Amino acid sequence: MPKRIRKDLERYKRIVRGEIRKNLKDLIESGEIVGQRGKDIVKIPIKSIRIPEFRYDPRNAGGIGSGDGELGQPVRVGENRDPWGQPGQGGGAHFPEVEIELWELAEILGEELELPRIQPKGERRFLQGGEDYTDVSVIGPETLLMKRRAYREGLKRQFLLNESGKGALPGIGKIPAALCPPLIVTPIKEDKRYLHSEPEPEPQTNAVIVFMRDASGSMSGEKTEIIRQENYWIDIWLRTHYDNVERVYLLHDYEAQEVDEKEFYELSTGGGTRISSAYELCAKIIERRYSPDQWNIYPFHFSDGENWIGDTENFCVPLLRNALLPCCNIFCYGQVTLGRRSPGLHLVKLEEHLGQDGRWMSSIIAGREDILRSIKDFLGKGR
Amino acid sequence: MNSLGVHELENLRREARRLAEEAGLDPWEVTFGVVDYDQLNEVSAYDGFPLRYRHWQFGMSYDYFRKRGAYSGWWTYELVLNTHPALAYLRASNTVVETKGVMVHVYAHVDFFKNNRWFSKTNRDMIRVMENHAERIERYMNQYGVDKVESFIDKVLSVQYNIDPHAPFIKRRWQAKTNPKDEETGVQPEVGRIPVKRDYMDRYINPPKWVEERRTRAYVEMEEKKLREATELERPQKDLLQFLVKHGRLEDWQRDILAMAREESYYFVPQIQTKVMNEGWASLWESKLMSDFAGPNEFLDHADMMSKVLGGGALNPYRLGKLIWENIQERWDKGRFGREWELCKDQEKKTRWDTQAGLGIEKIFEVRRNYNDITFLDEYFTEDLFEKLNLFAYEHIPETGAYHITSRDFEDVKKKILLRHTNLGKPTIKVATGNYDNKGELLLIHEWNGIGLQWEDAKHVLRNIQAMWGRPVNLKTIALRKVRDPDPTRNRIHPERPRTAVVEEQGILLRYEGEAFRELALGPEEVADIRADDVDYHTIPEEWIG
Repeated sequence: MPKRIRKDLERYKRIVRGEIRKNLKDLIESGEIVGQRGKDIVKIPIKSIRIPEFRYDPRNAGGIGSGDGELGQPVRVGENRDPWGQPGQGGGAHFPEVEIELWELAEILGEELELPRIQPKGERRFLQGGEDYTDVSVIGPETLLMKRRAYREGLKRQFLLNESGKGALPGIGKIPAALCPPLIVTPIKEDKRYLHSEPEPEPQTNAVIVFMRDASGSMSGEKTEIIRQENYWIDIWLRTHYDNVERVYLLHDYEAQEVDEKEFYELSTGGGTRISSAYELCAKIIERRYSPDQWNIYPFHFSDGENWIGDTENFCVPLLRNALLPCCNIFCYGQVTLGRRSPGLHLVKLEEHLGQDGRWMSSIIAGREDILRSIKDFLGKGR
Repeated sequence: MNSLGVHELENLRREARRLAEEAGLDPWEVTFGVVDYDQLNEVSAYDGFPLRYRHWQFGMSYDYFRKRGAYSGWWTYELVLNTHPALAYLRASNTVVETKGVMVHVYAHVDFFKNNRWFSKTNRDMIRVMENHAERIERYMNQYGVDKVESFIDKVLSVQYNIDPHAPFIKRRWQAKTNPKDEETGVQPEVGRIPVKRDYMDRYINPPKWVEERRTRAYVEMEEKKLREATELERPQKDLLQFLVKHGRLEDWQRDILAMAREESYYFVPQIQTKVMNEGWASLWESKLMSDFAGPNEFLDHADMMSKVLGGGALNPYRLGKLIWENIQERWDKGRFGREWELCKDQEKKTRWDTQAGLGIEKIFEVRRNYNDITFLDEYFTEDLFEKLNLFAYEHIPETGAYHITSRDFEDVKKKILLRHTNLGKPTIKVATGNYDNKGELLLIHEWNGIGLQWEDAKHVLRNIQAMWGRPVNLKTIALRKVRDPDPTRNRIHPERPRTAVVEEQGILLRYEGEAFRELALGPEEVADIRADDVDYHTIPEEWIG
């Protein structure tokens, strides 16, 4: 980075970070950022960073657009976007929202909650495809075809096989160049060369996050929304610590099943609740797909604390103690009960049996205002 | 990737210049600097200058350019400074055809800088001025603290374009006369003493300390009176910055920064005023000259490049400007102007109209000398062009909370376009007096054209001005107030279109004394002086209202 601008950039970043930290709780509770899932850059509306000026109220000034559409039809307009204000010509270019990279946001979250950095367990080496095309190969996809090289190889071959110029190199030897017939080079399969990248062993850290959720009727609506928010922040925090993060989503009522992300937050069933079904499936998936010596494993389970009578002590505790906790970095349980902060029976029993285990984390979330604290409950140990 | 050597670049530059001059362009010498991608982001953030003063806003711009580049592959195509000789930047990783394109584009810009009337008063030695500003501000930061100086700059920037764009062109009578040195300074006012008969009693009846106090008080009063009188204006003035430099209660370093910001704004104004023309002009000549300059195998690459620069909708200034210039040239080449053309109503005849006048080139050079965006768009954004662009006007309807297409009428669209370019696209705010109510308060007036201010911003700016003025500040403006909700039972021709409330104008005096804001309602007669009756920028159809 050029030296001169660095100071300006640092001051700007400090201002942005300060503002985000100040507003982090609101940002999390409003859920505004979670909506932008799946991008490397998030847009954060922070008004105070823009330099104010006397300007027209955009809602009063209207504007012009181009395209089809009937009178009366609604159009999408970026509230602050100014099509004329392309930057680069004389100041005054202003940017409506602060754009921030996910890792920066995770860092701010970490600073605000004073989360310790995670030490990935083990040091493993994996084969990773190199990113630079430093090598040449005779096979490969057509998009990586080196055309010039292929023609050169073709030319060489044609000379060697005496297919061109009737035995003479053009311009060399007896025949003057001008008299040579036009040279037509047709590369064949053997002439083709492709860019190639040599895989190199590089250390890579892997993590898998297993999100589990009680899908029975009592867990819908706001509770699911809270879980979605919470998972988002957990996800970006863990992502900054590992090169490769996979996610597994399990829904359960009486039975457990693996679903995709969309279904995870949308499906809801009517049945009863048997939590051990989820723990069992989780253990099975870990055993089959995520060997603990190659993966850092993070299961998160959310429910409202209701469970089939006897299931917690007879099935959940042994499963956790014998199968899950030994292979996980941490196991987190979140009791989502709107407005109620007293622990349910499930949580009481688990605490009683597992409270001493350093890998066991639990938190009670009684509303959006608890999300931030509960992230700290889960991730505050730095494991 | 290629890396052109100095000699190859110099050959290209010479060729580009030769082509530009042959075509009739008249640019200054141009110095091309080769920069890498990251340096380009830096100079872009500095608006093209090698160095600016220290402020976080440049860091913000830099961050913006960097992320644009990294995440959407967008980068600054050309960057050229209005200086003599002009300074332009070439990205080191440009291909040959990109370099050629940028060079001719730049020569056209420099021709514009040199020959357009609106640039005639700009300081062409601005690189040095900017460096000087940077140095001075750095010194103040060392002396008074970075935070203190930077937050003052924040305040200044919020009024940086509250200047008078036309001021450099006005010769004022008083300019010849005033000379700050002539102003009286340090005159001690006579203080009344209690008369004493015996000299030795004077010490007791007029104690020196008491006399001194009275003298000081009288001095302060006199100075304040002088200031008040000086701040009473005959007629409202647009240059708020100048007014604050002269009369604001500022420390010397603050006054200096304010004056620097003002100088920088006056430098940038012509560029904002001619954005469409200037970008259009450069794009026009780039495409004309590249037909000779680009090699046969580069032709497609260049077409691809141009389509990126000109893409992004009909309102992209590069594209809109280029279209208008081409249209002017075609019309004057074919004689499609003047009384006969205007009066001809036969569409058939008009499409075939060609008098072989051949005046196109002459005409566009004349226009590039004399016009700015406002006059350019007003005169040459014609109905024919409008029909090609498929434009519409839209408005915000509070009842639906959304923007709706309100008109596809040429006049409506055109007035919205002109609004964007009138007074740099910002509301007109003027200083009415610095002695409002005879209390030394500042009164600003918003010349109302039917469009309200963004209220939160206005308050924030007012707070900043108060800090610079040092006394209460007032802003006289008008806002729209809802009178009656729409009548749901009214029969309408198009029931599916949105309906909106009836509104009326409400005069407001927004006042900030240093702690809290007060909003006072003003009667219609009290805002008669700030209302312009002859403009109406709104395009909501009558049928939707009420």
